[in-house]
Amino acid sequence: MTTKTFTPSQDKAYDTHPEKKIALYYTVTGLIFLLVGVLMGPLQALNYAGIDIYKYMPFLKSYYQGLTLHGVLNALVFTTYFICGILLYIPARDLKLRPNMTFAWFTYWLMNFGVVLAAIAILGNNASVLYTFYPPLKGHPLFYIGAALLVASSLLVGGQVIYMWTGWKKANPGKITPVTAYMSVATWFMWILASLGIVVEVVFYLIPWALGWTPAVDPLLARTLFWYTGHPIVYFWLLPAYVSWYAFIPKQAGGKIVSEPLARLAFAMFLLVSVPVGLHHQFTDPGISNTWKLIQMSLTFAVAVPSMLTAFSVAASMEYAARLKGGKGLTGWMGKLPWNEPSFTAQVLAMVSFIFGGAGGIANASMSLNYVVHNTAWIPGHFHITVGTATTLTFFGMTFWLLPHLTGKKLFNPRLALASSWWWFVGMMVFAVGMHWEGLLGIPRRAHIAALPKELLDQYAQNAQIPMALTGISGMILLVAAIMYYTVVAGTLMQGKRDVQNAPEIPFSESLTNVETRKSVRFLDNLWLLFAVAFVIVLGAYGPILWGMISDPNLVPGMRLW
Amino acid sequence: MDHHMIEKYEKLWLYVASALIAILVLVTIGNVVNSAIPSVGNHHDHSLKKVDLTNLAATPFATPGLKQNASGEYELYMLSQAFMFNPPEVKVPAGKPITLYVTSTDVLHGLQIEKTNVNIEVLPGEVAKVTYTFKKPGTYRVGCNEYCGVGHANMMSKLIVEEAK
Repeated sequence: MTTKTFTPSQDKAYDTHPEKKIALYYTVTGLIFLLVGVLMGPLQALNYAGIDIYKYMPFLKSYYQGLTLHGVLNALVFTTYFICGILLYIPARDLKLRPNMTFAWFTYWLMNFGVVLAAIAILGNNASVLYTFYPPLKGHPLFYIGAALLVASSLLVGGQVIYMWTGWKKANPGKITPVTAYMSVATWFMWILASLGIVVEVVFYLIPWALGWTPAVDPLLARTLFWYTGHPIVYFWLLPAYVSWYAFIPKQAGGKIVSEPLARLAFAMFLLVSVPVGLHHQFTDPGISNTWKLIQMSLTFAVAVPSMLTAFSVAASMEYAARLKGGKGLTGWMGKLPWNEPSFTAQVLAMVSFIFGGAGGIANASMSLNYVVHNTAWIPGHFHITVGTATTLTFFGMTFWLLPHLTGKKLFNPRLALASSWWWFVGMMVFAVGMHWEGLLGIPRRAHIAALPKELLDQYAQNAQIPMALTGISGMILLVAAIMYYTVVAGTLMQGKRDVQNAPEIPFSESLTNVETRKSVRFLDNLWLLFAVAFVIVLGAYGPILWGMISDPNLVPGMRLW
Repeated sequence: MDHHMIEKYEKLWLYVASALIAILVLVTIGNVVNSAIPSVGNHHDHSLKKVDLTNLAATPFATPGLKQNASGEYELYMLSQAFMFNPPEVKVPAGKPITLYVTSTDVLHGLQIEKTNVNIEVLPGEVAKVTYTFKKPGTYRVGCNEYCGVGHANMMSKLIVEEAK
């Protein structure tokens, strides 16, 4: 891999910046997969309203096949593509370096290959195992191989960014990494550490077992390895949104980053403590001691601190911008923010949803409250306002400047873009109210309840009419939002005319503080060191648990029950 | 609003946030240690941690249902299997601690009893143990809340709590 110095020029987008094209391909491919997944959503929302329309869907063998598509495409495939696109492109531009394009395209096609393999298994109804694919439910080998290739390509992209950054550090001794690149590289370091669990689970256990080379797996070990990755993966989804909130929103609001050192501290903390927290998904599992559950619960709560810092810091940046424009009063300044800008508004709505999503997350992570909500409809209610809104709506907001920036084509119908963001936000909020409420009434998640015989459905529905109606309605609102959003995306991309010269720039924000002189910032710039410390923390928090399981395994054969 | 003032507020917010988190951690640890929640645990007195699924006949799961042990305490053995609970309906006395032992014979299942905090991830071969006292007599819905296959939603049963004699 070589890195070349980048020459600024705006005449022919792809000639002078071929990295724009790879960013475009990654993000748009992700959006296309998301569209397929999103179209499954209303069917599921109606299921939770007690209305079964799967029998009219001849291409779906079951609710669970549709749910597998929805979860895998939205949560795993879309996020990975989009993040690989932006977190390769943005740090490269921030460091003024060009990625090795041959390698970058190789990772893109490898990822496509993996997704096609997994899609063959899912579309044939041979892997209706949902996106958590807990063994001993046994899917087709192509599903696991495809998933492994998806993760592997994302790691190669991350490796390429870290390689570029390491080269930049060598070429610029004593210089502090620019903040946007810093946040991006920290996110990749975190993901490399976080992905180890799923890599080991899939490569060493599930693939050999699905191929019939090994007869049995240990469900508890597999579940533990899955959640080792399964929780920090949410930070892999969230941190790219934070990059945008910290680095771009101040500029988009018309101001500056008010506390860059804290932004760096937040990302350093995410790198250090994001990973050893997965046990809070396993509070109700037998076979793991309460002591370890409590240790990882405490670490989970520690991760809430950088998120609370982000809430303060991003809000302060927006207030600073609004006051520069003459905003006054305790809350009156908010009126001065650019609410007619779809990119800005979408992301602020994403932040608002994350206030509720984050608060719900603290309830989930508490060992005593978790027993009330574990595996109920509350949980999908929670992650639709976190990854489904905080992350996804931020990514939508980013596309409103990113697609014009990459292609030189004008954003199609900004008013529709703005409206789609509000509809998405409102739809998700209504969905969240309905699902959290259903969960508190003990309605399980991921269950095809609408197809139950009446007397069984009534056991769930008797006092849940209002939340069930809300969930069904929200599915329709979200369908409208998706149609509006994808009209904007398609309308933008399908224009013939380009005006590269006047395309929007990446909204890198300036900083209010000078960080060059700060010792703390200088120290935090040692991301390899932080990575090593994070590795040691993970070893301490997971080593004994995993060792206990590996040395006393509980092996059971696989089964197909769908 | 200059950045020195912002940094001052920011530090204050950092301390407040950390303090809130610390309180949450301490309260929850207190709850778990005092067994205020029916937690699924590996308590040291829990001798039946795993069972051999090919030889269930040698375990108390051979005849699932409510039993009284030598010291008169209630033990309820339940099996989760695709797509039912065994026994499908069970009666227990109100006001007495019931110790539930549950495992799965095939894939992952969940066991949640409505209106209680009993919520268990049921793994094949791993035995979960939870103690709970039902205060109010009545019929409680028991549902599977972990995806286990195409009949997952149908996996429901009843637990009938009767007035103690």
